[in-house]
Amino acid sequence: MNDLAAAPASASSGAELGDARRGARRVALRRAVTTTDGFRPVSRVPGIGASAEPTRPSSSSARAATLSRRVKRDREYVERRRRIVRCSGELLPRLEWARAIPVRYGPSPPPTSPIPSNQRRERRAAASRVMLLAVIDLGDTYRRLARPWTPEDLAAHYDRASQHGLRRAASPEGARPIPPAGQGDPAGRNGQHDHPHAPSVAAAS
Amino acid sequence: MLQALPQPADGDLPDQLLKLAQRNVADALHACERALKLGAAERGYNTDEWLPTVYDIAWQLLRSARLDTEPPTIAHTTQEEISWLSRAIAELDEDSEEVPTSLAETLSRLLVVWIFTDAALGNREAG
Repeated sequence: MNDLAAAPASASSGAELGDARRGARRVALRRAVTTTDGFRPVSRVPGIGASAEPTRPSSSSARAATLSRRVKRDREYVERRRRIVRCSGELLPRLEWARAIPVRYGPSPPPTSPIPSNQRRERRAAASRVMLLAVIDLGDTYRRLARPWTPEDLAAHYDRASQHGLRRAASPEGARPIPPAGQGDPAGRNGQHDHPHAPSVAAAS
Repeated sequence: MLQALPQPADGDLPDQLLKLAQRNVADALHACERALKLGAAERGYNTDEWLPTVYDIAWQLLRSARLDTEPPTIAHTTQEEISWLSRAIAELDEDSEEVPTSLAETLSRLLVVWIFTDAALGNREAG
């Protein structure tokens, strides 16, 4: 706007005065356009790029230096935010300034465990070894079952099982006669039950 | 139960469980075979006629035995064996004609579980 005031005052005619003022206005407008379009803030994040009033660089190298500083600052800011969001549950409570930043996107940090991480790893490895042994054992057994069976094989197994059962039934250990229905006596002592309130045979009759 | 068993808890426990299962299967198989023979004497059929049926059902179950099904085939076979045994007892009480069929179904599943315990015990002895 000072350029408008700096229009030549010595102009006598109105036409000359008008031409001079129009020329000064064009120069002022060109400078204003150069100032706003010549530098664009890199970031719109408050406090990083947009808060600083863009200033007209004196030269192209100075403008490039300013740009690189702002880009670097923006990248540092983004990286810091990323570290906060992705940090583990152990690190997060220690960062005082991270408490003010709520986790809005992505998975929440895992809960902290009172068991040290090396002990957790050992426990997981032991559990996986146990599962592997059990699965391999049963897997081998199932593979043995999957072989082609002939009726003779099955008959041999049936005879073996039957003979085994017969021997056990003949032995005192395997002989467990089941009393006929209605004559069962759970106490096994002619109606003398252990329970104090159970009715005896004599009382019932 | 064998699948849920922690391996390092006791080295003999799987053997004990397998032998116990094998003993119980042998007892049950012998009892069912005896019931089939008694039914054959009463109803006039031959026990040997039913044995091919027992082998055929067992063959089909063994051929389709899978560990990666839920429940695994042997666990499912054991459940079915109990179911068929209960049905056979009820049919014996009702003097039903279906008694030999239910007994054959029970015997075939008992045979499959016997073969499984035999294979598992042989596997452990070999290992």
